[in-house]
Amino acid sequence: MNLRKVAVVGIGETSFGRHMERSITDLAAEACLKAIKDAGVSHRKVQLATGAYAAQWNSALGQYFTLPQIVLREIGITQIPIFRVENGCSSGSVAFRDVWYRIATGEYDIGLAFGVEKMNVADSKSIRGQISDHVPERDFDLGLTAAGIYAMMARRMMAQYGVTRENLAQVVVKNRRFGSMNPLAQYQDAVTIDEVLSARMISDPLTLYMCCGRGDGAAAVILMDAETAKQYTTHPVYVAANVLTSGTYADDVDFVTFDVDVRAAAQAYEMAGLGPEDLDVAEVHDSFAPAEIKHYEDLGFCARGEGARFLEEGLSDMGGKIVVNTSGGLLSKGHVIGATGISQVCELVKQLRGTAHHRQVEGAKVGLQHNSGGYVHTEFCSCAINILTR
Amino acid sequence: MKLLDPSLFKETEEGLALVGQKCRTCGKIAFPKKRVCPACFSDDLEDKLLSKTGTLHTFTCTYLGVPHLNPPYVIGFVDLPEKIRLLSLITDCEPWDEVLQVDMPMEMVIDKLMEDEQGEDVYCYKFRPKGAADRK
Repeated sequence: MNLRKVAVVGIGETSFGRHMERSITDLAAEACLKAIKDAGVSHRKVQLATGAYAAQWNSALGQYFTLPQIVLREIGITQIPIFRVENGCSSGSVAFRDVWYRIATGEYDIGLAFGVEKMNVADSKSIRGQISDHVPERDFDLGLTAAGIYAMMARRMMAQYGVTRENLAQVVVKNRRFGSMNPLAQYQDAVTIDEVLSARMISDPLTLYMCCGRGDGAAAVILMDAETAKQYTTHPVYVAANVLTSGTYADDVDFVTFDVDVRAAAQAYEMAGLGPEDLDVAEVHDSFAPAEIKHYEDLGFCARGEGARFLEEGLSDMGGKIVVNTSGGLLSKGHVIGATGISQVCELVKQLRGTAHHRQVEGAKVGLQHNSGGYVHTEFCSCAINILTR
Repeated sequence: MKLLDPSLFKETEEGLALVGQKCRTCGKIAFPKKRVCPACFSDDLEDKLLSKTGTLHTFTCTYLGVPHLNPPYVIGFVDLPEKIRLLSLITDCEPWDEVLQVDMPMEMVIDKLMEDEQGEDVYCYKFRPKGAADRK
């Protein structure tokens, strides 16, 4: 299919953190309004919108119905088609994809995508105690947790490739240092290797700091076709590739990789006509420290089994080959489920515009965003990747 | 005995075994049983009892786990010869960080998983290092 070139023209984010006193509607409206103002577009020009959130943890039904319409009514956006999507932790990226696709195919010229979540209204026990009668293997009844998934992966990486606990801590130290330069991040303080290693054990070998926190917040973008974008900006950021796919769920692959990520990356590089060697920056789904090391390998930043070395040699740090998670990543921002994917896009847009201040990667031209969502038995349910260029 | 999910098990002369399916068309083994073969979409399926031994692919001790299992507890992936990867609680392995090794042989046991809301014991499969002394 002939797809039109699409540009990100506006970005807007709330701070990520604890916003107990604010409604989910207010958080989302703040991010959407910021994105519209950043794009310099009238709210009446927005032709469609898609909003993402995974669950409303304190609602009896687990959901609020038609939240995106309720949010957008607050800023005067009415009388247009509005959708809600859910794809677990990649929900935000799927909202982005939905708007991108409808503009790329020519159905609309200007659209808004946003993601929002309030995580702090739920107590940890109710999140960990999710029933699993919809999962045939009954994984959560049998004790699986999000940290447990990546703890098991880390254990296998340690046995198979010699990854160390120190390597896991190095991921956290790098990302928390970047987070300390991002005023929107939840955790504003850098940490040391010793602090990470001596923190409370969550799921061995993962300590507290190796697990992302949760948070409240929202992020939004305005997308336009490239022709329309010229009327609004002199520095558009283009979507060179957008890929969404789902898991393979193999039972016989070493638990050091997710095929869904490998396939999504290959598709994204082909669509963009670019390779990992062309990337300057990347925002990858570092929900737990070993995930980032795995992603280096699955996304082709380095060879299989070389992820820890890529990290140790500073190749993912400032001055390295591909600077990863300059936003501070989920490990600094906290995971704001529905907002995470769009927040990753916002960081790359700042990098490609050259407005990332103290964490700016000099001359960044190409960025990759990677967002994982959901999990069943042996693999994530979904992987979304964007490659952005200027 | 109340099982977590009776459809996962089959009573045999040697006690409870896990039961999956084997596709008569392509030979693919799957667990738990599904409506069709996930590999070739055939619905010509037969029951397939799974081995009670396997190898420990990886594991973790979870300190902040699901409330109904009273953390800390040890879980892992156990790979069966039928190329089925099971998530399983690991039992009879103290001290776990000295006893457990990646790729070590494991054997299945039927053990209490938890209590339901009425206080009745709910049983499920677990795995333990092969030859571990039965402390029950």
